[in-house]
Amino acid sequence: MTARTFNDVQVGDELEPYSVKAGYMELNRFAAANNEFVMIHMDPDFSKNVAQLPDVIVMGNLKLAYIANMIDAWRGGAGWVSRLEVSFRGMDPVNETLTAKGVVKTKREEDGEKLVDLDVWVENAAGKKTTPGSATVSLP
Amino acid sequence: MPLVITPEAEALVDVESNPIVVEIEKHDIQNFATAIAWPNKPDPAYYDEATGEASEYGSIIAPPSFGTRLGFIGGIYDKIKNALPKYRVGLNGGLEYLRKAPIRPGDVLTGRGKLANLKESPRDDGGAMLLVTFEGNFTNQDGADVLTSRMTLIWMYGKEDLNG
Repeated sequence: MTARTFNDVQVGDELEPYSVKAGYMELNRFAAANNEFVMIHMDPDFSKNVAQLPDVIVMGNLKLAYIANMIDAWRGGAGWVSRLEVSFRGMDPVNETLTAKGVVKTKREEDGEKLVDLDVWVENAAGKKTTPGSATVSLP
Repeated sequence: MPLVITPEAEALVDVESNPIVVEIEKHDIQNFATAIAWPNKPDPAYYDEATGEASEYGSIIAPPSFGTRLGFIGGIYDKIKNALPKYRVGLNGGLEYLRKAPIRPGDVLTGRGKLANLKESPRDDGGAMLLVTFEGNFTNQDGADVLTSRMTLIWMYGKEDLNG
């Protein structure tokens, strides 16, 4: 893991994608760690027959975490993630392979800080962006 | 005339809740780090104490999205829900976190939440969509600003649910 610097970064750079097949183990562990015990994220019978969803749905909060993991790997321990933002535009069912992706949108200096703005998103196996967002990272 | 926003709901905008105090335990951070990395190993910066002690922060710290673990809208949610017509479908529209300082084991955070904004719009089916944005601001035991959280919920209403 190489610590990234501001000078390493070019607008248009793509971040290394971060993929996870989000199964019940991933969802249940996250439910416990995030104190997020919601039926549509746990119970297929409730999800299908009561909530009328296709299946159990992956938590939006977990998809945000996958984006953050991708950014952490990209920055290589350097700097600080100062802003994270996502919109939830589509539901992803359990066992979907989710991939966090990102691209460098702008570089700027503000109050002595070297900041990099990223467009980030999670897409499903069909390539649909279900969770678009943005982030700002300060780098040395 | 507003579609679903009532004067009672409007009056709740920007009214701060009672503070919520959260003590951050080491295992809260480590379990969170493990869960978000699964099936891979957690990032040592968020899990391994020796790595944390050797870091610029002097300890492990919470991962960037740890704000999802910190509730802040409890009492406000019920108040706004009771001040509006009952919605048909509720969805999580989005999240935003502004991270100002690291969260460490042993920190005692104080969160102050509020209803930040209400925005309604008509739907093609004659109903309405309401965006309900909550904001929470957390400070630590030293009084330093640590985190601002924003969450937007989407509440869908049918035509027959609207005002008037």
